[in-house]
Amino acid sequence: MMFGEEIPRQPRPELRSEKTVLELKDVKIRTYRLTLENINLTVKEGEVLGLAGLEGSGQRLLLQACAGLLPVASGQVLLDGEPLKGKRSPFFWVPWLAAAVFVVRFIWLIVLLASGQINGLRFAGQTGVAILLAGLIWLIGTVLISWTSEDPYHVFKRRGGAYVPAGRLEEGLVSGLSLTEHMVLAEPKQEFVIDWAKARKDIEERIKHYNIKGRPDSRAEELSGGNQQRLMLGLLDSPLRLILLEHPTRGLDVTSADRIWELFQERRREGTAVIFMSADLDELLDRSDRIAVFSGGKMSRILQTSETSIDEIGHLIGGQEL
Amino acid sequence: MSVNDTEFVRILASIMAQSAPLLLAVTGETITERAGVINLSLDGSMMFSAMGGFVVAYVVGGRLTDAGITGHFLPVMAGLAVAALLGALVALLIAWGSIRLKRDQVAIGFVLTMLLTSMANFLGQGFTRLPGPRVKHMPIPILSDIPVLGPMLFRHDLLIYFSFLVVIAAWWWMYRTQPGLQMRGVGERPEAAFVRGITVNRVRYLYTAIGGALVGLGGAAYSLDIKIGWSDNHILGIGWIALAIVIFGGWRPFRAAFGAILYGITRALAQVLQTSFPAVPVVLFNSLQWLLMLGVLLLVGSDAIHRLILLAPKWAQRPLGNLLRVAPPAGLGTAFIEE
Amino acid sequence: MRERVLRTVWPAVPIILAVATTALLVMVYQADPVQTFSALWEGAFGSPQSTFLTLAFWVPLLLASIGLLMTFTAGLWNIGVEGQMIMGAIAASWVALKWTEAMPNAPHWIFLPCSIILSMVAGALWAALAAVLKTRGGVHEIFGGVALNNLAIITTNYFISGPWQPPEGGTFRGTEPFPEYSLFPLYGNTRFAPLSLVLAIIALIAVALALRGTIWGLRLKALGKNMRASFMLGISSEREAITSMMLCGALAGLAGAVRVLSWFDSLRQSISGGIGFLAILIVLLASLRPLLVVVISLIFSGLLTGGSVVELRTQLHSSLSGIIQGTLVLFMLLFGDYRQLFRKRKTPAEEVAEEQPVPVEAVES
Repeated sequence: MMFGEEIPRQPRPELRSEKTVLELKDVKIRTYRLTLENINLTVKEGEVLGLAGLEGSGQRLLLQACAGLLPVASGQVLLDGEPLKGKRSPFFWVPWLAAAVFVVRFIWLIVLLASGQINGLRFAGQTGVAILLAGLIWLIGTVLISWTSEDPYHVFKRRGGAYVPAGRLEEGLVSGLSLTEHMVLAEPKQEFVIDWAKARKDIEERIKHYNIKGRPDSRAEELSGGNQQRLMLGLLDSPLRLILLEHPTRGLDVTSADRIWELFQERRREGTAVIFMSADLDELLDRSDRIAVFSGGKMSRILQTSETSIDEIGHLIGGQEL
Repeated sequence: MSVNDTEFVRILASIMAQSAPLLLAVTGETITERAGVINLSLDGSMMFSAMGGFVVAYVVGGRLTDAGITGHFLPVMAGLAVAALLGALVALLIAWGSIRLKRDQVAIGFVLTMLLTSMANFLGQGFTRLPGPRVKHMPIPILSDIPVLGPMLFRHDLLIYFSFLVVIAAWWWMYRTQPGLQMRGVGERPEAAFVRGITVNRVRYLYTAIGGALVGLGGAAYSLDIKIGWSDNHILGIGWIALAIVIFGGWRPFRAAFGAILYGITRALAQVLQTSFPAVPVVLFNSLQWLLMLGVLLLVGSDAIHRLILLAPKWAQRPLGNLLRVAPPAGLGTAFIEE
Repeated sequence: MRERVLRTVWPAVPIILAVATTALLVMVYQADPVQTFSALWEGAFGSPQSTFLTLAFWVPLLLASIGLLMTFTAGLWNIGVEGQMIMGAIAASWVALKWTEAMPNAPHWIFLPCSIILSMVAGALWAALAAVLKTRGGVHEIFGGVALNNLAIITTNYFISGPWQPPEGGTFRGTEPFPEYSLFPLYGNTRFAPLSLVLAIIALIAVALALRGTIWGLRLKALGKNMRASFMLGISSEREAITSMMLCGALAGLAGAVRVLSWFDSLRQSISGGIGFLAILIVLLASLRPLLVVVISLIFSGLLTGGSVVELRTQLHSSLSGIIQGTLVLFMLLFGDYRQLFRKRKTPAEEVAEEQPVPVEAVES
């Protein structure tokens, strides 16, 4: 990353790479309100895919499924060729062990009871003890599992993915925490003991580079909406494989939006793919290589930006085919 | 010997009677929470109003006797009125702290629990273990002779009948009247209700007060009816059980009432089992109610119910889902800022 | 300027309110407030004997409060801390009673460390149970805590009146006294154990440093403020909830061991003495600041030991201490934050000014 103040506007780089970053195969996503089916998608390194459509047509669901935030009902999501799923704990067998211990002991007790070696009261008491013992094993197992398993979304992050939500203070940033603290949390290789001086330097750099109006000890909620957006983008790591964005430039003026997209060009050169949803058709046409249109819970064809027009997109959004 | 004289029916009747205070308390708290306010102080405020109700009834009874007027009715009514007032005031304090001062309802509620318990013990110190006025037993003439149902429903006193009626009235109000619909809207989505012109905070205060009053009556129902008198930590723990029952009840009056009766059954069962199996250590029976609390909360909290519904045939899923709904009112615990 | 003065002085207001309310109550009972408060002071710090009593009560209270600092930072209401103390006490009693019995030839110094370790494990496991009930079972930690507290008390009663009953028969009062070598070494003939205070201070420093200076502490802080955003930033709420609860449970269990092996010398019915609940009030009052926790827990401890003297002198019920503590926390909660009470809203003009981006050239280096 360069640390200058002015970044000259570069022409959109040609897509050199044919390597696939993200692939969706026959994906079906089901929620209470909407079902998206037969999604087949391939996104290459450095590519920008825009998602167009009215709110609630399914774009957000797709984004979330790509990040592992939403489970798919069927089909596969592949990141760099590997399916995206949570990490299973090496201790997954412990709860089964607990059940087995209990069952074995219980049967043994029944045998004792039936053969008259123990009376009913002792049977009940010993069964209680067996329950407690099995419960203890189960408890320890559950604790160990919680420490060693990983949610699909966190695996996504670990493998070079990033998700920037639209709800800045609801989902993207933590009210009450300072910018420096956010920097620490966003750092992927964070040491156990925090080096506050280094974190402060890092965030100062990001503040400058992304033009955030705020100080390292400002708290997230003290920033204006636009600055919060710049902060969220500024906290992203690099290099990344895939960035998913809900409304990346919402709340930003034209100059800031331009600047953000210039910074994304940097990332594209590094091979980062970008998928974003937007309500701004101009932005979609200007910035994406391809556009997928969502209408009424269905994803239409994926259009090459160079071969389509605002009219066509508008019609598709409205549900009409030209 | 008629069926109504059997031990079994007697136990059934006793379960219904013993459930009355909880019926009042859980219905009251259901109303409060449906309007969007959590009154976590239940354990303390029930104890506080139990003490207050008893003390007032005792003192009033004494004064009246001095003036030559005997009878329990007036003292008990005075006690109940004061208990209801205390309950309402406590609940209003929480609502005010949340709405006006923007404080966390859970924090205020918890502190109040401890404070009110201390205050109940402190202010009740002169009145422990004194015999006091009680609600008069008043079986309804013909109805109480119906086999089984008679003793269960109609052979009690006015306060217990009142508790039954409160449950029905609460259900009717919440689901069959316009104001009830408004109340539910306020708890579910205050912003939407506000846009429709409803004075959200005033509605919250109103129903918080009503709910709190019922909770206070529930507390006094112990000290003046079910567990007469007052002693240190008289009804410790019952408030928490009431709160858990509200959750189990899915914030619906009938289901909450079912939960209250279920609790009563558990208690009665524990007592019966204990006398039948004296060799089993007492601890097992004492723990039943807490295990029940955990079990019941597990049932509604985990995905278990959701998965069970999915197992049912397609046509039954929607009605079952409505019946077994477990989600709290979405606006519960939040402070609504009226701009 | 005037606002700054008001802001620093404001916290005194809830204190004054609390004292005034208590004084009022006392007068209602025709007791003398001055005499009451002086009895309170005397019982707390008036003589060396009472001071050591206050200190002895203070240590487990401090331990529990330190533990709660972690769970409150994570946004959890660990009401179950009382039960975690009790389970710790039971574990320590097991060692002090049964291990000493079973190993009469073992070196005497070995039992205390075993008690300490086992009590921390027991407290941690009991807390883990409440945590797992929450993360896997959807049972709110308040209810899990209340239910487990009661189950812990029931367990205590079971042991006292059953397998561990003293030779003269189970009377629900307590087990027989533990051998002296299994207890904490006490200072003189007080109930204060200096070793327990050392452990508490170590715990305090460790927890305070961890919360401020480690990524773990920061994750807890983020979790407590916004669970969803924390998840999006990569924090696992289940893992952190369980870990913080277990660490709090460990400290609470240690507090239980301190209670049963120094304040008492046997397992009793009311082994935890409401310390867990009191610790919750303390941490609320201290707004999660470690140094304030130390001071406030000492004061609250004094209030309790003083309260029993008040009861002797004035015939007032000892729950008066609880009233002082409760009103103090309540008023502080409601009225304590000056800025919140009298904050002036930003004008629309000020809001707009914040939105304007700074021109590129004007950004300072």
